[in-house]
Amino acid sequence: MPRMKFQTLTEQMFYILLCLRQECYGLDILDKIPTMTEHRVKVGSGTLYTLLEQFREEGLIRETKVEGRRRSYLITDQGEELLKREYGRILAQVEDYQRFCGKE
Amino acid sequence: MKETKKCFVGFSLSDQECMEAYLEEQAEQGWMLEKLGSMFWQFRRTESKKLRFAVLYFANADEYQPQPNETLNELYMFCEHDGWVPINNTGRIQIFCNEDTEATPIETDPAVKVELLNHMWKKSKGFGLWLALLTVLFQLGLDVWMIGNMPLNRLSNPYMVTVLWLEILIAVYATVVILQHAVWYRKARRKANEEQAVLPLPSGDWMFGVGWFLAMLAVISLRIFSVCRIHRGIVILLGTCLFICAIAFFLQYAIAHGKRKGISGRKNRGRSTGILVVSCVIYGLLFGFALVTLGDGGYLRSSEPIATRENDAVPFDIYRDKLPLTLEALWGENVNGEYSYEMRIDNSSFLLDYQTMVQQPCDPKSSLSSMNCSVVKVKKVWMYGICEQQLKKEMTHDYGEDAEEDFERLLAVDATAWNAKKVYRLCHGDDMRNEFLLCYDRCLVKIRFEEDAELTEKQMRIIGEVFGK
Repeated sequence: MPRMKFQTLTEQMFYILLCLRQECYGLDILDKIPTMTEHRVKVGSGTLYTLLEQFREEGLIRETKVEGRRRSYLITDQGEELLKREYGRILAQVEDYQRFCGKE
Repeated sequence: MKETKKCFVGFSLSDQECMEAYLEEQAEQGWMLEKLGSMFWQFRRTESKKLRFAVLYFANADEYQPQPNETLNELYMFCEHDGWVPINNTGRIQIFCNEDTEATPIETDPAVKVELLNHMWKKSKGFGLWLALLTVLFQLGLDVWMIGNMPLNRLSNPYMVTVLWLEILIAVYATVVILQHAVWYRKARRKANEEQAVLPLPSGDWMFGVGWFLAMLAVISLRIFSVCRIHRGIVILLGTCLFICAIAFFLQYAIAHGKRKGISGRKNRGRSTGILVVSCVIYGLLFGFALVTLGDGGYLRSSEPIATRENDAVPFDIYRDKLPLTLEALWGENVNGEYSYEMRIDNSSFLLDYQTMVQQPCDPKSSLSSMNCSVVKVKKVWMYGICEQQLKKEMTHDYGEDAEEDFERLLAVDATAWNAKKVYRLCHGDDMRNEFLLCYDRCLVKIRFEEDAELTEKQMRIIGEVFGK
């Protein structure tokens, strides 16, 4: 898995985990993310499938129920921790930007 | 009008962009992909349309599981949400098409795509390359060790010399491809993280793959021919090819049968592995049996015996090969018919020629003398010292530092009569043997006579005239 086993998250990884803070079908994530980001971020169906599998293997999310072909997922404590860390990293970048640009 | 066609594709199955562009071009011409092969693709006639294609490398593919399965169904469900329709399922390679040319791509995260490409490469080529590299290096190590022990036999054999070159080429090719991929992976990960773009896998290597396959086939063939004469070696080689084809078809049938019956991927894989192991054991036994019965030391034997005689119930083969030097030429004896003239080894490579010949009486109890001669014609100057050392080693036995005075050693003698640069004579203690090492400009001769009488100057001159020119 890239990025040294989720030490940093790509935009798509971040938003998938964010969506799964509430129990959600995998399929619904494809619509939720564009809505959440005002169509700035779109996740490909293949990418979503691959990331859900890998998040599950790493214990960042868990499967909550299966209805036919539809499966729903929810983030785990480990996933929450990772999301929080990524949020902190992004905030730090924003603060650095504001501090640096403010000086100019 | 034709409803189906088969097309030869010259690009690798790891070249996604090429595959997608090709499929789009075919769709515009009214052809839809029906079956994907590694070199030939099958298309069926359809309505001409402008379609968008996507090639997805499916990491969770299990070639042994019934298709479609749960994991694949979930992927299809996601793809259908964005209008992507699956048109071909070959396990690891999934192909989709979409009528909406502006649809969200199937893969949008470059980092994920790079990992999928890496995973696919490891499963499809990486394992095979590593196995080939380790096998070839092991074999090369063995060959180098054997050359160190028997340089004359090995380096004069054209098959073995060619095999060595091929094995070195195979090792170099495998190493280059593995390193090339490692460099690609490192660069691709950096590019995906920094630029959010995907660096394509190095492509165009299918030709090298075909060349590599032919080189492996050549190595196997030459190793077979090195122990069998050519006509028997061809029988074994054809038998090997047929056996491999039969096992490949049977395995494919067995896997497909397992999928149709709905048995689990694990059981199907186990069953297929079992079939493969049993086949390898059977092949190994058949191959060994064939070599024992058909192998006659091919390159080691230059000729067939003209007759076989029983000496005290022990069979003795009689040969009538043409030898450069005979006892008749030296002793003037006319004993035609009571000697066997055998050219045991007659090898020639670009490095050296190596001959071993024996003239011996057909009746071992007779009082007739015998001659045993090895001739090395050195074609590369740097080989001379190696060949000389080897012949000296063959003539003497090293008894180590605690050896007594009574041991075998080579004594330099007057080379004038022999017309040679140097001549050594084997001594056992004070006992001078009729065994000599003659060193000419480009030729080395090890000669032994089972004869008590000392050689005369005339006989030395005759030998010098035969080998010294």
